[in-house]
Amino acid sequence: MSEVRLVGGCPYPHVATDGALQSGTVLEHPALCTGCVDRPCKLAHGDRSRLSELSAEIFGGTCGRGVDYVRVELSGGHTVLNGLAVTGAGLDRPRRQKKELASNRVSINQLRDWQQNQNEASHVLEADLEEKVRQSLEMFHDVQTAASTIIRSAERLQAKQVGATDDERFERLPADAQTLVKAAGLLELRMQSMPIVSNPAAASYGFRRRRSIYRIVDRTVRTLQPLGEDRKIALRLDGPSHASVSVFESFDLLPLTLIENAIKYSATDRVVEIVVRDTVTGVSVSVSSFSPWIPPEERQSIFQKRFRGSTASRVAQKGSGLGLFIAEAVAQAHATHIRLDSDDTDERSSGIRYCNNRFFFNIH
Amino acid sequence: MWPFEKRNVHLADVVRPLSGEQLKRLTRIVVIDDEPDTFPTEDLRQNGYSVEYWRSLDAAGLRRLENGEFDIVVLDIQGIVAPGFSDTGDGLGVLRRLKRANPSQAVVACSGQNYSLDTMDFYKIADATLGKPVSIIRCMGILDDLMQSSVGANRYWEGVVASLRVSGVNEKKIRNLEREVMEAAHSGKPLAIERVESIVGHVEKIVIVAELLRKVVALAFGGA
Repeated sequence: MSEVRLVGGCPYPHVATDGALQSGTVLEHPALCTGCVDRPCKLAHGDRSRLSELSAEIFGGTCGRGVDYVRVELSGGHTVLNGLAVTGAGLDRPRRQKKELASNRVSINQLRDWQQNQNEASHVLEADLEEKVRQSLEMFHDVQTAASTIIRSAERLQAKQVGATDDERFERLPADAQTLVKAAGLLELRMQSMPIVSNPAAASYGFRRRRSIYRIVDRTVRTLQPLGEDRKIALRLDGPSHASVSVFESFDLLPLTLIENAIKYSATDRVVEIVVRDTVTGVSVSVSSFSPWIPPEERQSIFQKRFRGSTASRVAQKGSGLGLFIAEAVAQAHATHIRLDSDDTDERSSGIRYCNNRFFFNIH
Repeated sequence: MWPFEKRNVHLADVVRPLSGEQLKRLTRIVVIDDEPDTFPTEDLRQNGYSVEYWRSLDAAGLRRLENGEFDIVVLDIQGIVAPGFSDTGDGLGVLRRLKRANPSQAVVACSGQNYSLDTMDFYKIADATLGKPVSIIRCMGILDDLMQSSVGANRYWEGVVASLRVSGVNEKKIRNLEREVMEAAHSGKPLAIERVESIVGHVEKIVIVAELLRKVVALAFGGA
């Protein structure tokens, strides 16, 4: 990264070259006005008519207490600096105020230099960020290529077996190869879910294909079986369903994330029960597990990006808070929502309240 | 007397439905992707699909696409055209040109860039999408469904009729062309562009119309 040049001893809040946030001195010690220490100065934000041009892109005014404020354009946005005593801008003030505000004194030239340095620093940071994003995407691209090779090799391995269906061919594979095929399937689904995090609209890309929901869920359960075994959690798929529904390619991620979530948070030696049923208008899918109770006030928030419930980090330390966000994005792409039912069980383990949680959705 | 020689028989009455294998064999697919390893071209061929692979797109290739030579175009967004070749300098510009020339052209957007909001149009305009990594099973599933929904003698004939009507060709000429198409399909001989012009006169996009008619003839009786 190229050097970031900042004003030495800057009187305003700023980021120093070591990355630390410095509070500055002017705003920390307003000599006269304390009205804008804890909250934004109403006058500076509200009454634009009192602003006058001090220089290009810098506007200023004086509040009722005789303290100046300036509005500065920075990186396409505006920043308001309060509690100043601006000099050299025709903003004269009584002798007593001049004395009291001596430590807040700042000239227009100083402001202009500060603004220029801030913008330069911002450009440097933006360029640096862009470069980092580009490097990450290049790496992601290499991972995609490697993942393609793994996934297709696993598919070819299965295709070489004798059998009328993929399931039959899979069953003929040796155990190790079966694990490989399952891992490749999981890898494919995970790679598919990544774009939705940054671009939820990707969940509705492409066209809808009529597919058997039961078969999708069944395949997902098989793929996730090893994860369940690792945590001594059995997966049970129930409810005969024969209906096919038109779904986007992203649909597979919906049962995947719900079942994976259930495995992750379920108490050990329990069963995660998945039920797929035909309804009058389509198909319903539910995933039930014995897992931490989710307070009512968190039941909407858990579908937000990066949100982790208050007990989630205590039960499973690793977690990105993205699983249910992805699931809900896919549900919304299919004009439905994920709902959550929690019963009133009050069983406790390690101080955490557990209950039966049921995530479900209808698709039609 | 062949059925199509009867006065009230239409193409839709005589077209034979194609089996999945016939459809795979007769559907012409072109994959345009600068990285051959990221698309399972060889696996598709081994499974009976007619696939051509292009690493990049030049002016001659674009002309073939615009003329509708392929039933399905699988298009990557990056690295397939030289800068300045299309209005956006990437696959999105190519996709827009294809859809302008021939709105019924089936296009699959195949890219690993689906995380980016900048590429949203590319995915929205395309008929189907394939995010990378591309698995063989998922790829075949999407191509099979796309073939069922957009490839077929009747569908292409509907495209021809729509195009001729837009160009002001009257119903009598269209009916004469339909009879000619049925005869060509029966004899297995392609219909020359000059013959088409002699029946309907010169129309805009005659090359695309002729290409659609070639497909109608090829697909009407399953290539038999």
